[in-house]
Amino acid sequence: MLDKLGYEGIKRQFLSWGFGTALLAIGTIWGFPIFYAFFTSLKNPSELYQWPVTIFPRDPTFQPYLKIFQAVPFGRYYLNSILVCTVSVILVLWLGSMAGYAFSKLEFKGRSILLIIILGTMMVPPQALLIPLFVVLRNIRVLNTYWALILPYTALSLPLAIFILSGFFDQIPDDLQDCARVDGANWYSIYWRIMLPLARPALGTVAIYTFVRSWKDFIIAITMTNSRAMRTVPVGIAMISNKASPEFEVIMAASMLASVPMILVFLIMQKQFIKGLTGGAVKG
Amino acid sequence: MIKKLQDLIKQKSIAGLLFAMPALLIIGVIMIFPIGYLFFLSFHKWVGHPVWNGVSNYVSIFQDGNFLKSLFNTFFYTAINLTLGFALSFIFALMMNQAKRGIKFFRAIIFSPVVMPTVVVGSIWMWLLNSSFGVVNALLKRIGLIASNIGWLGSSWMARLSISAVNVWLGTGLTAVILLAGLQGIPKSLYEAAKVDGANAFQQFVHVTIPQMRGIIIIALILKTIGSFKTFGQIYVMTFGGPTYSTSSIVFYLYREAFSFFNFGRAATMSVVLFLIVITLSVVQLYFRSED
Repeated sequence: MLDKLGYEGIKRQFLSWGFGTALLAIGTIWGFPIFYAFFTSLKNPSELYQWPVTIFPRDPTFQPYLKIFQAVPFGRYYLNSILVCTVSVILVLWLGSMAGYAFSKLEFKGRSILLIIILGTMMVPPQALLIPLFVVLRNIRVLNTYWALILPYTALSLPLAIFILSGFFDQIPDDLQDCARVDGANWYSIYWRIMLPLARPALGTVAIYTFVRSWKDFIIAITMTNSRAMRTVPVGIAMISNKASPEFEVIMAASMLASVPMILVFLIMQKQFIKGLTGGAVKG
Repeated sequence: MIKKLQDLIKQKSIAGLLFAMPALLIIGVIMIFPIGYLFFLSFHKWVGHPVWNGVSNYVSIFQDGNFLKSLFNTFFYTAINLTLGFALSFIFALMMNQAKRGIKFFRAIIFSPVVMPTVVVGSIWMWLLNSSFGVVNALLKRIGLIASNIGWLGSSWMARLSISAVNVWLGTGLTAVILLAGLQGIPKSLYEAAKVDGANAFQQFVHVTIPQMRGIIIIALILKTIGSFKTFGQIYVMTFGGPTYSTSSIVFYLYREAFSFFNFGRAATMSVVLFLIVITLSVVQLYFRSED
């Protein structure tokens, strides 16, 4: 063993173990806020507001989780978020793949200039468009409805979707489409039956990107809706956090419910996630 | 035959336009029209409808001490993110690149804040930094670093630094993952060649890693800057911009200006400032990305 590895090899082996251990240690410290939030969500309120401060719950309880559904209509917020994000994902997948297919495979007039404009909108910070967007949504009479969130979420994710999907369709040879054409298939059935099934991996990346981005949004939700019934999860959490005497065990329980699904999806599909969230900066 | 071909092309171009139309329509109404309307509004006063106001919004926002304070805070957050945040990201990326185990766990941990809503991150840290029962005060007291509790979000500079720390915690994962991808893309042969030439680890880092990573480092720095300029959710829950605007960011200030005080014109002018800064940075980033 020693002979085979030699001095260099042993050094490298040692270093890699060293770094591995360091990663575990730093990771535990870096993740402490999340772990601590989880422990807090399992505590009785009396345990929170006393010294000495405890880290692990003395006698764990699910009371805070029950309380968010009783004290605030968190179930409603959760359903709002799921509904708005799901519809946005479906719209982005459908409209984005149709546009991506058109830009890649159907030569129409002005498509290169249109594609450049669309890609340009990826650079626009939505935070800077709040005021004109508010006026637009007011004028088309959708303020304080689900559409006030679905339309912006769809529009914000579409440019990257078109970018990813048209790039994907570019790799599919034209022959496939031409054959189907000769066989008498119309454009929509070529798109729906041939192109879309092939694009499955790219569609996955787009779906995750759109869902997470929409799920995380706070600023659009808080400006474009104002009724309690329309609140999404982040807005609901901000409201219970900004109370004069916040109940932190309840806030932490809500925070866990807001982030654990995202973290789990991330753990399962790290690659697509990273590709989407870095906006294509990382080729995965 | 030629006619048939022409027909096909014509049909194809009409189909193409129809296919792209719904997406173009939504992007046009929700993104592109508002950009033009934003600039229009920035020269108007809002009284339920826009009234021409010339450049007075532009003059007035730069005379508004609290806006300038918010601008300063945003630059301050950016500076901390680009120095401390970036250094940490780079160190983490180098460690992940060297280690054989623990990578998955580590990457999941540092990336988790990236997928969490910013108001959740803000809420968690507000509890950690709670001045009476926060665990940060408790731990610092336990190891004897402080004698009495600190009000992390109570005074101007303390609050500004606390928000900066949260920003670093929030953004390090994304940058580290981008840098890691860059590190993994460097051909091993370059390091071996450097080793043959007698370069030690530090020299390899300076003469191989840094030049090879130039493009991706610039991209990561610019993405971090753009992200810093969008800071909003964590401020909204942790400090609501206070005490007296010492943690307010550009986005937070323009949000308040528009939706608490209904000065849409002035808020639009502030948005134009934000818009121009971010677009300029993005164009520079695009340039480096195409060069890469």
